[in-house]
Amino acid sequence: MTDTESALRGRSPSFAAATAAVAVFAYEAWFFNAAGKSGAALAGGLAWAGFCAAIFAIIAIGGKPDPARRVFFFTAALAFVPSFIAHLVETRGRMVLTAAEIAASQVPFCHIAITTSIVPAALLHTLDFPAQLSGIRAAFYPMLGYWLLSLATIGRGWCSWVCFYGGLEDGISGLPRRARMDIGASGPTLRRVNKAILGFVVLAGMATLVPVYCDWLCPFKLVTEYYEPSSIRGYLALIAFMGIFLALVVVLPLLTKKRTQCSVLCPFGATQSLLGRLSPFSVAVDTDDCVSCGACDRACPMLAMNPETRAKGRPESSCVKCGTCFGACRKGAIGYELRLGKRAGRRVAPVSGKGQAGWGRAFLDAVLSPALLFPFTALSFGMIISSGFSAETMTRIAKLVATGSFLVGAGR
Amino acid sequence: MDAIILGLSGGASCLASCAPFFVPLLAVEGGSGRARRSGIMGLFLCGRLVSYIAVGALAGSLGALAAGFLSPGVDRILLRAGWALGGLVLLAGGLAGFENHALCRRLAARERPSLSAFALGVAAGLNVCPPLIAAASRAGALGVLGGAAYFALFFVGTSAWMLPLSLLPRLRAKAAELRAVARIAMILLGAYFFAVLGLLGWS
Repeated sequence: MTDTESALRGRSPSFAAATAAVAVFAYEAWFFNAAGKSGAALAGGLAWAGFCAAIFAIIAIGGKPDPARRVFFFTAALAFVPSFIAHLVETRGRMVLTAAEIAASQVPFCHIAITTSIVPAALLHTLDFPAQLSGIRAAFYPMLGYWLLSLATIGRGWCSWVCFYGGLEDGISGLPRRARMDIGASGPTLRRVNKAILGFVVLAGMATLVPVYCDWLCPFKLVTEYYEPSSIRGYLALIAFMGIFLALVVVLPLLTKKRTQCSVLCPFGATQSLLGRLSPFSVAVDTDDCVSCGACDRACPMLAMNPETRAKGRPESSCVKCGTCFGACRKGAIGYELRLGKRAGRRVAPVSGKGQAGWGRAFLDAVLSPALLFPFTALSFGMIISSGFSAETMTRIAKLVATGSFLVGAGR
Repeated sequence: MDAIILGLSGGASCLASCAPFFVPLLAVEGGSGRARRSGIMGLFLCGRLVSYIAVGALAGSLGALAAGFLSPGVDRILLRAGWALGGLVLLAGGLAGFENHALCRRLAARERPSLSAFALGVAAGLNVCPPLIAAASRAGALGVLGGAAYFALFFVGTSAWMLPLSLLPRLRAKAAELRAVARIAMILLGAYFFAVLGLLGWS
């Protein structure tokens, strides 16, 4: 018997499984954030790795994703914005994009643009989104790979564990103690509008070979980069970006405690909803335990829970698997579910660690239970995607404290 | 034969240019039987054929000047006219789905899917895409009738890419949901095509 096994024998299998998962996650976080670094970069990487590992430990041992998930998600989003803007200022001296820079493809590729780019790319072998790196394809294919991997694993969980834009809105919607405006009844309409916007940007993009969403609708231009307002069109686009950001990312989430931009506008989210069945993980409601109190309906930031979906035992496809409803449910009737092959639809019960099976089997069941496996997968995804910019922001903050400057190099 | 091959080889580009005009219409009819959807598609293609023959005759009448047809000017006018017409039809079709407003009720009462399909076909045929420009430059050497005939055959080649869409399976269970989503998408597309691309010319 190894030392680890001896140590684990004294604990329940589920606690031991959570502890083992935390250890693996901590190694993973170190590998992606700190391995091979030195000096200030190592300090920043270790800070972010430690933060992510602590978040996972709280989730794995506590058994519920929120509020730890939201803290991670919001922090990652807050880390993304200054890192991105600092890079822009350092490399070109400003946030604004000129027409010449767009024409020269000096625009980072964004996952939201996948939805508008993939159809022209498949049909015409043409990309409608300008992007930097060593060529358009070098930026498109890695993002396509991330997207396909997300579809096959966490599905729309991307929107609550990975997307650094959604993190801003998730954090803002979580700030008020209670909602001042109830939009619960609008759920079906908002979902339709979201799908219609996806159809609109894909079809309009096909017809014009222009990324229509990026040109006119993306609210996150305001916290990343935006087109130079040198014409009426430029000014109108800037007004649209500002209006949409303030309305859907700030004001409405504060009033409703719902993620309005993610629910209504984001075409990437709509795509994830439509292709959500490709993911083996989903959220399930135990209809035997559910007492129809409606607490999950009110808690869900995506309007994915309602009496109809509760009765079916499954939320709407707009569910982002954030787990906010788990904590709201007094009966503990909501949890993650793993659907694989012929076992599709089978509810995997939470592992108690008690029963007829031996300790080893119970430990393995606990490790592979969706309650542990989904947060591990989703947070790993989020941690890896955010590793570059978040660790860098930590380093920059340390630099700011030490030298009084957030920037490095030419932009300082 | 040359025209058919040109149409077939450039059909993906034509599909990308024309699909935004008829996909929303097909989605609205997603719950209808195959015969009705094929009829809608047929009328759309008829409208497109009318536009193509007109463009082919125009290119043929220009003769050696057909290259001028390609210069910035005429093609922009055709393009914007197509966007504006298609946008208006899509906008009206989308609004007709919302019967809780007086204007929408009036539009719903006058809604003719067959006429809309034909008009959208005409608009899509004016959408000057790269294969169409190539066809116009060849039709220039063929005279009015020859140009029209060339474009009719070019139409046959490009249509081969579109016909499979009318064979998509009927969606019974989700038909109402699909129709509602398609109506909203039609409004957005219609407003964008008409105002941004058609009137303002910001393509």
